[in-house]
Amino acid sequence: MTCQAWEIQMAAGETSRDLEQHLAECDDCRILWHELEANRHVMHAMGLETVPVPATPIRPSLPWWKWSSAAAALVLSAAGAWFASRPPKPPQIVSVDVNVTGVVQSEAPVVKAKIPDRIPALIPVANTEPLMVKMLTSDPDVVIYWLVD
Amino acid sequence: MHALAGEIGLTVEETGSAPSFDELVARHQQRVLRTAYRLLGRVEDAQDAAQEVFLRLLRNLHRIDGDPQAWLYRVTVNVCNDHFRRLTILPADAPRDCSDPGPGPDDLLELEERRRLLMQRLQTLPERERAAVVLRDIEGLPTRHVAAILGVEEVTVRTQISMARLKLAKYVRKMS
Repeated sequence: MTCQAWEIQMAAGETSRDLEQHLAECDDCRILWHELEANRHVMHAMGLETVPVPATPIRPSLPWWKWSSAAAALVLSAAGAWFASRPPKPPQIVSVDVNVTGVVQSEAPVVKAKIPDRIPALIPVANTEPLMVKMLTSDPDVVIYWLVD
Repeated sequence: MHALAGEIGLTVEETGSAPSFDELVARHQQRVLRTAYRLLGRVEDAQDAAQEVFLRLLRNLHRIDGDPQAWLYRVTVNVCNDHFRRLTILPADAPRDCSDPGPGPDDLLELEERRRLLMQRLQTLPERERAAVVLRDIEGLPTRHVAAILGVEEVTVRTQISMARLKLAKYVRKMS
């Protein structure tokens, strides 16, 4: 038998009288045998060691698609809740100044409505020039102007 | 549903016999961590691998009858092999506490050096040889169990273990 064949036998953990005889005669194989034995003891001890457990206990993490689904659901829920709890939009009140500069003649009885001089503004309005609307009537002498603040 | 399953959002249907999962983690955590550490060589990588192993356990708990030890070993080896392929080779971690307090200081130094070299060489063994020798010589499993875990014939495992032992012994001899 060659040394290579003895090596395989030693590595397999087999012992025999022939192997012992070879080890007594072959320095290389004897050294290798000692290495194998020493490794066997050390590896056995390694099996008794403890590996540090993570500071936080083992917690399987969620796959990415579960995290992203949860995040998307959370965002949608928050958006929905905000939309539902929004206060209703207050009606916009605009004050209008009406200056009647003429009277439209018509066959219908004229009803005199009491028009206040000025309706007070209920909401702040930007300080801009009033919008003037010129309304033409069928009578060329009668023109109605609307000034809108 | 037990706390952990609930925490990661799995239902009872997904976890099977859910209440036993935390017990299984407590019982097998160290074994999985240790095997992963020997296969990967770094504590942090071993912890990541263990995380993955227990996530797979949680998903497959209802399919496993009895003690899942063999299943856990098989999944640990697979996860570590996958993990190992993604890793660049990094030096193994510093030696850990050893529970065998027998030898004196000089012997201890020699043992620690041998241990370091073994860990170093383990990381460069072929996957199958590494898994076989870790399960057989470090975890102390019988050869037939190792063969079952790795899904190969017993004779193949014997060859792989012998080859791994020889490589380790020759490496230590060369380096020391």
